Amino acid sequence: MTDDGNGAGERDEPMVRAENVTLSLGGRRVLDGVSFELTRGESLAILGASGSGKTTLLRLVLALAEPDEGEIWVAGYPLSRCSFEDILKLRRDIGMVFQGSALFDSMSVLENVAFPLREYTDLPDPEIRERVHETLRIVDLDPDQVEHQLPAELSGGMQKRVAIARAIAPRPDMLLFDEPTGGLDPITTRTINELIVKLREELGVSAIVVTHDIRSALHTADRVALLHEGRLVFVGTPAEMKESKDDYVQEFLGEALFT
Amino acid sequence: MRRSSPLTWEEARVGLLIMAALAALAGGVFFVGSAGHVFGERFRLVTLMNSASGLAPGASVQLAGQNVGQVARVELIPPEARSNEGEAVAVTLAVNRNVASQIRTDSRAHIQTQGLLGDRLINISPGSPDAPRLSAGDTLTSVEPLDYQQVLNEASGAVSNLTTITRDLSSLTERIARGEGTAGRLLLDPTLYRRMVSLSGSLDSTLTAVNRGDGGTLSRLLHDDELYSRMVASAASLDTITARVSEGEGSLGRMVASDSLYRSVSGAAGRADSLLQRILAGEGTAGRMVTQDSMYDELLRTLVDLNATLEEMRQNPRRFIPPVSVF
Amino acid sequence: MSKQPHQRGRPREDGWILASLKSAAVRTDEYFTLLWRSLRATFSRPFYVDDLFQQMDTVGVASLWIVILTGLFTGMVLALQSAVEMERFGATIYIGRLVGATTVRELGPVLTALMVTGRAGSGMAAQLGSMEVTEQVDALETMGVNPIRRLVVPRLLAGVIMMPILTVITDLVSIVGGLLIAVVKLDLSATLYLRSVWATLQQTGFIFRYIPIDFVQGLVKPVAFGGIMALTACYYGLRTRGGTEGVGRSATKAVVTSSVLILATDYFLTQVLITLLVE
Ligand SMILES: Nc1ncnc2c1ncn2[C@@H]1O[C@H](COP(=O)(O)OP(=O)(O)OP(=O)(O)O)[C@@H](O)[C@H]1O
Ligand SMILES: [Mg+2]
Repeated sequence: MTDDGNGAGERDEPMVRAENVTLSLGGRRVLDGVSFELTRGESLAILGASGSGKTTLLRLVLALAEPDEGEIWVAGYPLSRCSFEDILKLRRDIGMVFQGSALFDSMSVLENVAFPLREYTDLPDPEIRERVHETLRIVDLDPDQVEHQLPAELSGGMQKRVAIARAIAPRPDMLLFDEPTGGLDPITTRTINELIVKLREELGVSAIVVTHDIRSALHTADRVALLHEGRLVFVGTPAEMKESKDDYVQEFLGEALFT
Repeated sequence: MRRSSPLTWEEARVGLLIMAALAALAGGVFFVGSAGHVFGERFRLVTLMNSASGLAPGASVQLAGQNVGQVARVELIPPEARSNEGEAVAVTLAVNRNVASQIRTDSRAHIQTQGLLGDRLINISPGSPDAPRLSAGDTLTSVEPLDYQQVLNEASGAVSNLTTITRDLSSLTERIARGEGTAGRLLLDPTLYRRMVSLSGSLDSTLTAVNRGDGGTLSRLLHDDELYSRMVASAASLDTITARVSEGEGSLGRMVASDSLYRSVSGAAGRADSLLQRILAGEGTAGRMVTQDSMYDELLRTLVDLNATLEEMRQNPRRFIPPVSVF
Repeated sequence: MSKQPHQRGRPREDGWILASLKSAAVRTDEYFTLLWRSLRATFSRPFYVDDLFQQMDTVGVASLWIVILTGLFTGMVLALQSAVEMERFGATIYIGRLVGATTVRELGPVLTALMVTGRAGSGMAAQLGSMEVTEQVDALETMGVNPIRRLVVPRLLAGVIMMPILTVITDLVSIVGGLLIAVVKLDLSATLYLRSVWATLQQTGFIFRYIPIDFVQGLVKPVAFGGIMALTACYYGLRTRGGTEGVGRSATKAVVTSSVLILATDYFLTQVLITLLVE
């Protein structure tokens, strides 16, 4: 990889391209021939029932795991042929919001959000603090109130926001959300969804939003993909999805919309 | 990640703990080192021994019972390299330099055993002031420890001889105690005692008579000094004779100067044992004396005669006093 | 039996012996891979100094009290037990020797390691385990941080540095514990007791002239034990699966495995050290 890692890859390459990705875990086929593309600036929602392999797919995109078969390109680079250093550089341009927030529980909110900044930049402390405050304000948190709190002292929704702040603090090219609204009340869910839309508009990032909440998906995504038992049974726009004749798509839509 | 604050309490605690442990460690090294005498200048001496007797490196070296160093090395000397037959082991001693002046050429090293656990150590005896000092690398003369095995071997011969003698003696005394033989009767039969009492009575009155100066040689011997002056004269001539004897002149002189007589005497002593046995077996005169009663009777008769003779002496003393002469 | 038709074409199932041998081999391989990667990360940049100090505090300062109590009572009971035996020979003056030698060579390192494993090793495994199951380890990796460098190296170094430090404290306190019993219960003089402690420790000899061999033994062992404690805790912590329940299992496994490894290593290390130093 010859590039400096910032805004990596050629402009016309898709942000993520997965081809025939297959992975077995614990003797079970978790992903089976998954192929999709995410173009720059686009937002893709990946829907699916619990255990369908959504988180696993995100881990593959981050190169936290390797597929048994198939290949994933991130910004045009095939992950299987990247060195460890290359992967670290690629990850700098990706922000990930984990399903359980994954905040470092021994660190304050300030330290959590500052973490990637300290890792990636040589900014002096006051400037880092400035960036952290700014980022916290983007996710609608009061910096002076929360910066010295520990993650355990925050509510689930606030933890999600801090997690989002940590992901966007180094201004990545792509954001990956794993269930950003999981386990939250409808009102918080809506504000988080609005936050995601706002972030895409303000920062112009590509995004993959993994969710089993169909409303969130239809609300935030340009395109929707549906995973069922490790296979992608549908990829298309929300409108196309509603039109789909596939039994499972209709079942999923119906179940999700009536509950 | 860069250091955010100058020094936190956590870091200070860790530092204090590490410092405390290092201090304890340094104290330990010091005390153990002092016990092992590693501080202060040392010099090395070598001592050659027949056997290391289990001495190991690290064993104490003492000077007159005072710890002054340690055994540094114990090595076997190959047979070709031995300067003295039997000196098979070279022991290198590391000794404190401050006692160097005490170790002289006449100092001796020897292996000792100390304490309940039988620790081996080397003790060096202090040298005498006029002997020259030993310096580093010199060889210290060793004294072989007493070989108990050899001592035991020699002692066991003597002990068995002693046992034989004691056994013989005990059977002898046993028979005496039973009143057998002359000696037995002597102890157990009161007749002899009674006779002796009457004998001493007669002797007493005889002596009283002599003392009174009733004339006769014996009383003159006591009351007249002529004999003394003559004896002085004789002593003078005796003196010249002894001088000649010690120069080895004459047969008496040979007796004193040569040891042949002594050898025959000690040979005779060696035979005493078998003699004693033969006595016990009743062989010969002495044997019979011990084993048979006739001797007792003889002795008794003699005493009766002696008593009669004394009685006569009292009546007629002059008949019995022999003329006085020294030679 | 391999000719039986119904088995043809099916994947062969390993017997339990072969299966457990295989998994033991895989685990050993993983364990040493972790060690190798940690060592490589230790000697390259970046180095997380703050995390190292924090771990040294967690391992060292937090274990200080249990280590002091362990040392004190061990020293006291050693003196007491040996007194019973030695009084019969009138040899109570040798108590210092017994306490000094056993503490510095064996009991100090081993007991400290076992106590610290229980106190700090379990905590390490649980902390890393909960970081693993809450995806914090993944988060680290996502943000360009090598979890081995950031999580394992400071813990490994903290174990390797603090274990000898704590062992020195244990040894010291244990000797003092023996001293208490010797003076108070057995009417020995303190000087006599301490003299016999020092005397026995110098008997094994010195290396580099001033360093008692017994001290080297007593300090090399805790370095190894500290490494084993930390590495085992990190290994089980980082491979935690199955939520909060898995965290508890990992902590238990870490303590059991490192205790056994410490005792086994103690034997072999003693053998090696005796061969190297004493002969
Ligand atoms: N490390 C692993 N070892 C074995 N099986 C695993 C592992 N990780 C995930 N799985 C299995 O893979 C399947 C997919 O898991 P994944 O976490 O991707 O599901 P998901 O779609 O994210 O579900 P949810 O909506 O509940 O988060 C699950 O059945 C899970 O049991
Ligand atoms: Mg998931």
